[in-house]
Amino acid sequence: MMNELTVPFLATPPSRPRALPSRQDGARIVADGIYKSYDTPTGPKHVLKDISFAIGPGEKMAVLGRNGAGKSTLVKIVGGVERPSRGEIRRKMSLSWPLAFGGGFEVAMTGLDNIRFIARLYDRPIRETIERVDDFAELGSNLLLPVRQYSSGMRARLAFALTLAIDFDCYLIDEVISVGDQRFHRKCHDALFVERKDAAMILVSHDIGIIREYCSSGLVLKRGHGRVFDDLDLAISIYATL
Amino acid sequence: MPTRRSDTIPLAVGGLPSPESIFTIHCVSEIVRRTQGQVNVIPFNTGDDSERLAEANSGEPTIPFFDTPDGQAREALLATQAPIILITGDFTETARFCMVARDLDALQAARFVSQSFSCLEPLYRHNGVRCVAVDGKANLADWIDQVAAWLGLQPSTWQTVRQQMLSDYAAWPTAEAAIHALVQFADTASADREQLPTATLTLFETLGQCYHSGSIDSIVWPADSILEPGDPAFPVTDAISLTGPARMLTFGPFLHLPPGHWNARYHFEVDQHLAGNLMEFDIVNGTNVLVSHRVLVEDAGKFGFDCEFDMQESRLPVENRAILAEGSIGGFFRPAGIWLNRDRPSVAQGINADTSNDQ
Repeated sequence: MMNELTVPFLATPPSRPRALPSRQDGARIVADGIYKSYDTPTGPKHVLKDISFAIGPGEKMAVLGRNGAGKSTLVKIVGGVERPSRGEIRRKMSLSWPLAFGGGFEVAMTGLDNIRFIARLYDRPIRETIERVDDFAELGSNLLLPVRQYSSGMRARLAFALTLAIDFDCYLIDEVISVGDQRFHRKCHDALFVERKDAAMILVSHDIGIIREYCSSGLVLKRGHGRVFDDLDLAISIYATL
Repeated sequence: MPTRRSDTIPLAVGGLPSPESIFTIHCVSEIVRRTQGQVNVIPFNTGDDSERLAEANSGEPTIPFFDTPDGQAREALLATQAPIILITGDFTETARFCMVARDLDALQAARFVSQSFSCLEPLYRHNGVRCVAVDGKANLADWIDQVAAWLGLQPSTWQTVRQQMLSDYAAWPTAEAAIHALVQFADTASADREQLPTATLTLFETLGQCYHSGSIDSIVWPADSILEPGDPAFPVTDAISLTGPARMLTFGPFLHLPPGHWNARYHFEVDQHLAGNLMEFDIVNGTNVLVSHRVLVEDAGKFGFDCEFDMQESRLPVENRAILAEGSIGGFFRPAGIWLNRDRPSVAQGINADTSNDQ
């Protein structure tokens, strides 16, 4: 169990740096019977019901569903940002937080301090990580400002760059790869899909072109239920008529 | 026994496209021709044929012959006040004859006969119509005798013709063979009439019971008469996977119903259900959607979906489309048949209860 992260690593960071799970045969991200419900004034709202899947090294799975189907909730649960109401996520390879997710930043700290903090958390060389983030995010001297002063775009760029700098085995991508202008968008696209083409990914997107180009399977969510299709074309055709 | 009402239209003859009806019209026209001179036999199935009937009916006796009369044709037939004779044969034999004579497969033949009977059914129900059931060759002599007497013909004038025709007819082993030999029947026969597909036998049995009773007020279209889309479409034989995009699951059976107000219950089963499936059920007459309903099937189990509709045009086939209205991630669908019941027959399609043809 040494290599298994069983707690959300941003919401409740561990007290000391821990080694990332090593790349090994049989390394997988496994979602096992995930349920998620929220209490609402009209009663519990069941967002996810018995969702199960597994992702191996290099595999790229699209998560498809209508708005409100629970895609983002699922990604947050897989990434450890939220806890499932029932079921568990077993992580046997390193897994990013949802790409460009800024919820893990301490907003009173500068961007630079946040980079240092997360690099230490993930046991990465601090200077190299800062250089990689600075090079990619192109935030310049803004890194010296508290994150609370960042625009949402700047925050997303910082989070995106930090995600790439940590170099995970599996990336969670939730519709945020269109951060910034056209040039930055292209840069993000290349960094994710070209330079990290061997990484595993769980990709939420309504862009069928991207899904068709990069994913090999699809998890279709419908009324809280989900099913993984190895036949991506079938998954897309179902999604197209949900 | 009705009396002859018209010199120019001695009688109208209708029936399923069976050997008996074809041979009967042949016999009747031959007797009329030999005893009264020239006789016109014209098909009369739609309101558009009225003009032809008027043209033909200009002196020489004319016998309208019909097998799929629409509402206007039925009204016009009753308006002539001529005796109307309807001929029914055994349903299966009739359907098989259609397979041979019209080169149809079994289901197509069943549809053809169903169309004919549904169009004729209001006339069968009409009191003034004489319905004669001919059961194979054995009854032909009696039948011809009745028609001749009905026409008011003296036996001396037609008995010889009758004997000759029956003799000719008897020389052939089957009614179909006799038809092909004695009547200039242009269609060729190539269908395999020895075997009826198992899937169609149930349908034949169901339809046959209705047809032999002379009316359709309640009928079941069995599951194997319902079709799955394909190239070509094929009868449903197993559960259909719902997994996939929105699409038509089943359609057909393209059978026909007599006019009236109908209730339809589509029985089906859904199993290995996942996430609910939005289904749409349409009743379509020809190209007209008579009724359409959407149902969210949220559980596995057996279901019956009810709908009501008014059947106006019996010449057009009826189909029930079961449509998966949104993409599905799981489940199987198995149609179990369509139960149809008629609340009230329609009398709006030309059946005038006050016609003088009533007995």
